[in-house]
Amino acid sequence: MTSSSTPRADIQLPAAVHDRLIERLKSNSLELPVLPEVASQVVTLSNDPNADTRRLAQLIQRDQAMAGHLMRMANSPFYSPKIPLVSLDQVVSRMGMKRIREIALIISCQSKVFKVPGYEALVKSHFRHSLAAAAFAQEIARSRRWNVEEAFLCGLLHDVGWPVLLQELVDLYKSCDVAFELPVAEAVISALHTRIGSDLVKHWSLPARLGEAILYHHDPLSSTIASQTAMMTNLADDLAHLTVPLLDNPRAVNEDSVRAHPMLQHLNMYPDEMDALLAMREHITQMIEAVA
Amino acid sequence: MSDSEAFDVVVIGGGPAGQHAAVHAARSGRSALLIEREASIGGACVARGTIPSKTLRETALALTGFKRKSGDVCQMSLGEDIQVASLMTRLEQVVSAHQRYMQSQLARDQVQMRHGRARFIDAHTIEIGGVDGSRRRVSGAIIVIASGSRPRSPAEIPVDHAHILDSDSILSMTYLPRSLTVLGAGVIACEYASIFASLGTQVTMIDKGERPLAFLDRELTTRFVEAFTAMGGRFLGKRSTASVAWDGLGEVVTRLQDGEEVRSEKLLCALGRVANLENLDIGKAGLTPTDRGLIKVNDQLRTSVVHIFAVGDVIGPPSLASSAMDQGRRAMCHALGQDPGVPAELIPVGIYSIPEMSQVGLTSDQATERHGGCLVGRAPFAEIARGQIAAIQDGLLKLVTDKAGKRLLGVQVVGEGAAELVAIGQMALITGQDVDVFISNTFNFPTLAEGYRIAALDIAHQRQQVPTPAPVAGA
Repeated sequence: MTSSSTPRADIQLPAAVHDRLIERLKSNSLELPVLPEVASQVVTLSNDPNADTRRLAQLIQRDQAMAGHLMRMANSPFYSPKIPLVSLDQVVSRMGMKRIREIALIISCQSKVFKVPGYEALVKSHFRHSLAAAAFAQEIARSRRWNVEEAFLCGLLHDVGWPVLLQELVDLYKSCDVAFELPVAEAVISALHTRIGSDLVKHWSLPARLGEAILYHHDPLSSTIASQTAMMTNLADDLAHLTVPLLDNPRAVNEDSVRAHPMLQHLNMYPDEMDALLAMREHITQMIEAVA
Repeated sequence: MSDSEAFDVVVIGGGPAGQHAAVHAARSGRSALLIEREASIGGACVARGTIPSKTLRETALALTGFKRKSGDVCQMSLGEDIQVASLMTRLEQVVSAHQRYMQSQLARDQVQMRHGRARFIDAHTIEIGGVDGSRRRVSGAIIVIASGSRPRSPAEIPVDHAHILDSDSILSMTYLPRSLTVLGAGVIACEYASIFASLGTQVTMIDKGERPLAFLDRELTTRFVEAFTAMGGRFLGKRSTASVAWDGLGEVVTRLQDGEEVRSEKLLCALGRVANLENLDIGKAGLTPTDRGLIKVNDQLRTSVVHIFAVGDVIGPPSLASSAMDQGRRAMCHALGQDPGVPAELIPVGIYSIPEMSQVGLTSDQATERHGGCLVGRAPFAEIARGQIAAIQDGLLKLVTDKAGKRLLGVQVVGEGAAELVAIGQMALITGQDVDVFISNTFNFPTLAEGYRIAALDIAHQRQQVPTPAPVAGA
């Protein structure tokens, strides 16, 4: 439960890699990926009070891959439209700016931005975990009578720093001509991913509260402006580990440990409410299978 | 009552009513236990209701007031992506400060506290189920049910806390919506409808009633609707909702019985509240809820079981924090055989809408009905120097007297500071003052309190004009 800004002393990165990483962290020069152009413009457009859906449709039509993904996501169990959506215009005009933005971010997290060559399966495993965390976070929020939108986005993006750091370390090892060691890299990522994830969502012009909740999702009680969301994400993270274990590093989570989760006290969740969440595991797994 | 920790008084619920009952019991030398199911005390008032919504309102007023008070020199608008939570940046500080104060007051008075859900085992024994799954029993010679209420979600309104919200989840809405439909026209509906309209959201309020807040003076609600409309809001009165549905895509669709369709980004369901009785198992204590899901009490706030009292929202209207506090104290006085004092018949009503509204005593309609007539004195804020200075010219203070124009019967105020301003009239009513008390005494200048003198002079003028005043109906 730490939110470190530097790698832990016991992590043995090769000296050259370590020095360059520290230098980049200190100078804030870590290369943060930009969103795909269209996704970035979707985020900008969704923040523009004068924007209309026609402009949004025109924008998305410029990127056929994005348009295809959007149609698939919009018709997936995640959004469960009451009627099949058959055209892009129909999706865009009926889903609204904020929904399209949400989907654009999901699509971006699956895009080449986060595809680290040689580690595609690992990155996909983390993406599936994030989708599960998003689904659990929104259900936790619903049970707390807390609005689900922020919880969903925070669950989706809580580990967004992970693939960014993996790419960075793969590149650094390569530039230092040292053989890449995944366990060492993962220890570094574990220590730094909250900070980098928080920086990234700010870089993408997403709300500051989201950045704060991501920064503190392993230490929610330290958050001053988004503690509720950070707490819900913390619990959702463990429920996601229980439901969709990571390929490389399955966390030691079981039903007993989530029933005794430290956040339950803070979120005031009683045993019957946790039972209801655990009963959703199969449904959430099916939703993830449908999209990732 | 064996195998359980015994107390003189056990109070279920740590909202305003429960706290006052527990504190009064402890101050009377009794051992008192307070059981609260939420993580912290304060009830809906602190965590989800009064305090958070008023904090949002203060921010809305600061933003809109800045423009108005600058004489429109400063133009400002909120970004479309503004987060509701960011408009309540002080909220965590306000809530935690209030909770700290309440916690220390309870500790100082040696009220014991337990966190968990209460459930009756029998008329004297209560089981407390903890978040950690633990269960323990306590018993009380006297028991006070003050478990509060939560927003009512009618079966036909699919509240999902994402698009279709209630008064709890609306406070954590991620973004300020472009459009909002509000179902209902009670206190909560009017407060949120006007707050969001003032922030630039296109608000449509729908209700079966002809006007919002039917229990308030008609002139006050007329001014409220005018102000709401001026902010871009729409009030659809005498209209019934046929269905509400999230279209699964971008909008909430509200279909009215007359065929009109209202589409909005979000919908707030503010159709009243229901008592929190579902986990209490009150049947085991020998109690039965009323048809409306409330607990019936007598004038001593005693239930049908002699040692069990009920206070606050679980007994129904007026469901105000102020009256709940008094009920908690009164119930305990009756339980302990103490004199509770004169009943508080003059409970003021405060509506923290924009503009603010408040009244105490009789409205002109009520005065006419009960006394065969009345005189009404008016003081528009536009005629008060402070009203001009503070740019709140649209306010109004009304005094209602008997038809002779002497005895004060009621006070109504609309405009900023209404809930504070009404307290002057409340004290005059409690002490049985004639309206002339406002003429023969001096108020600070410039203050809105001057309105009392102006309204009283209006009545004095009517007295001179019409020696035997005729009834004024519906003034």
